[in-house]
Amino acid sequence: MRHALLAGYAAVCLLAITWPGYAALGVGPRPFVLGVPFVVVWNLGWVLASFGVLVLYHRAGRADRSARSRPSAGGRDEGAR
Amino acid sequence: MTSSTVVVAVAAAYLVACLVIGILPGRRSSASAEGFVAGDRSLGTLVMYFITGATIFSAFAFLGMPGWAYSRGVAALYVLGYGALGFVPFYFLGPRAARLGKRYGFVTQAEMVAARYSSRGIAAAMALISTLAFVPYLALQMKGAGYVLNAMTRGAVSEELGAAIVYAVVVAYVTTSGVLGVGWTNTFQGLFMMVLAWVFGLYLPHRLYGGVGPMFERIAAERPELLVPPGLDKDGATPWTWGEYSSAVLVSIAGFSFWPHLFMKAFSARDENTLRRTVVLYPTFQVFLVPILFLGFSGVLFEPGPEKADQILPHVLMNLELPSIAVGLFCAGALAASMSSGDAMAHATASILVRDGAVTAFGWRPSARVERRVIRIVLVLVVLASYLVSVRYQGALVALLLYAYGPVTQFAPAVVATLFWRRATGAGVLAGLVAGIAVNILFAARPDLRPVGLHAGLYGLAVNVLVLAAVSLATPRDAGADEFLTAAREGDGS
Repeated sequence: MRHALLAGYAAVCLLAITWPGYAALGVGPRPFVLGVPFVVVWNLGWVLASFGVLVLYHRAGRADRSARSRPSAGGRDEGAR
Repeated sequence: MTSSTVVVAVAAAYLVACLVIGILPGRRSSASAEGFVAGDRSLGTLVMYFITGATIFSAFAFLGMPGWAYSRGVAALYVLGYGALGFVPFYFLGPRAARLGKRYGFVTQAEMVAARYSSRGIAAAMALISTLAFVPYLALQMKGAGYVLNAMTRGAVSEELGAAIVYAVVVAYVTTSGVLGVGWTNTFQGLFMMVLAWVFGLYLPHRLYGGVGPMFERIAAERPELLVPPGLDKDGATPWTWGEYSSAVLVSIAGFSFWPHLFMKAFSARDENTLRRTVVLYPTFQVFLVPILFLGFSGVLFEPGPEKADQILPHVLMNLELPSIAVGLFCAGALAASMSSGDAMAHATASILVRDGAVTAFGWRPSARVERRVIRIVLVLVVLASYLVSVRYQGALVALLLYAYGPVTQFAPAVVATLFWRRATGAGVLAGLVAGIAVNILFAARPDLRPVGLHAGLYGLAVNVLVLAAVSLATPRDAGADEFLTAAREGDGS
């Protein structure tokens, strides 16, 4: 499930930072957000959204791996040393 | 009045600091090629974070991106855009590569791909393509270092001499310490760049316009075309096409995780979680590009303009009558950007040429110490070759970067198929690589032949995928695929 969600997010993000999503915004030099053109905020927003999505995906994966390894390794994350 | 002596003194102090930080870790690594190339697989999250971030934020980020913002406006945002997704594939590729590296002793990307198919041809092709991508990229870093020292000393140090001095320091610490030297200097340089970018990125708009908001207000009033997506074409007057903007983003995403010097860090990391955490944290490094964008935009209404757009930052700083120490610090920050990428590239190119070219492709079997010594000699030769390119090249920095992404993107199908597709064969991977790079070179050299205005690397990538799939399905199954992929998958779950 988390793999599908990540793939879905990546597809939406890709469309939003290229044609047609970015082009469909149809903005010019304005509006401004906090003194910065909206196009800058738009691109930065997707970078921050990617960070948030990756954090959630990573945490969910760690929980999965931990649950899988519990019977044999006492719940220790296989990647952690 | 800015004193060139003080500027040079600050830059020299910075270079000495890099030299010391870069040389010390070499005492800890083993004398083997694995110690030199992969740091004995010992790098933790902090160093990995800075090594990936600082490696990618090169002279292009500190000089080329402001140059683009200055001359092409929001076209420069393509760099921010591709950073949102560019490193995500590595979350899945990195741990698999790391497992295989530990099990089979791989230290380079091509070594891993060639080993699955027992193909010397693949190792040779990947070594050649890597060199095609790295030499111009390394030349870009040298050119950036030369620009900065030349501008900051008001011509007292020529661009050629500036690049030579900076890269003599790089050669000294990389040949001494290998990847550990690269890692610790990148950590130092990454922190240094982040602080300087924010300080200058907020200070310059304030000094010139009264703040970031008033700066954009004036640009919107006087040069509104710079703020209309997707920005301006290279002539700085006509709008860029959406096809070219989108393909610049796409080719960068497709190629980003497959840069050999970046991919090799999968073999340097302490464990798989270190790799995953590095990918998760990576977008935070992108935020550092925002003040750099502000720096470029701050030069838009600055009169008189520089001779070349890439020189906008040093040009503005030298004409603002800032304290010499501040100019010297900026100079050091720009050198950090150039060196932190250049060192990793020089190290990777030499390692690849020796490990993939001489050892894997041509079957040379040197002792560990001899191999390490030869890598050092090749590293010096690579730096010299790149230096010659940088001296002769007169175009924009970003053109070199975008050119380099074409060849690197051709590694994507080969690496993905090697790590994930059981049915891939050596003949398919090699045919895909050769076809992809041929198409890429053809369309890069003759852009007028492209059916539509997309990046040459994307055409190469499409042909590469089709040829790899078709030839793989038409050739006999690879006998060792099951064992290789089982080893790659062990403990997977990402």
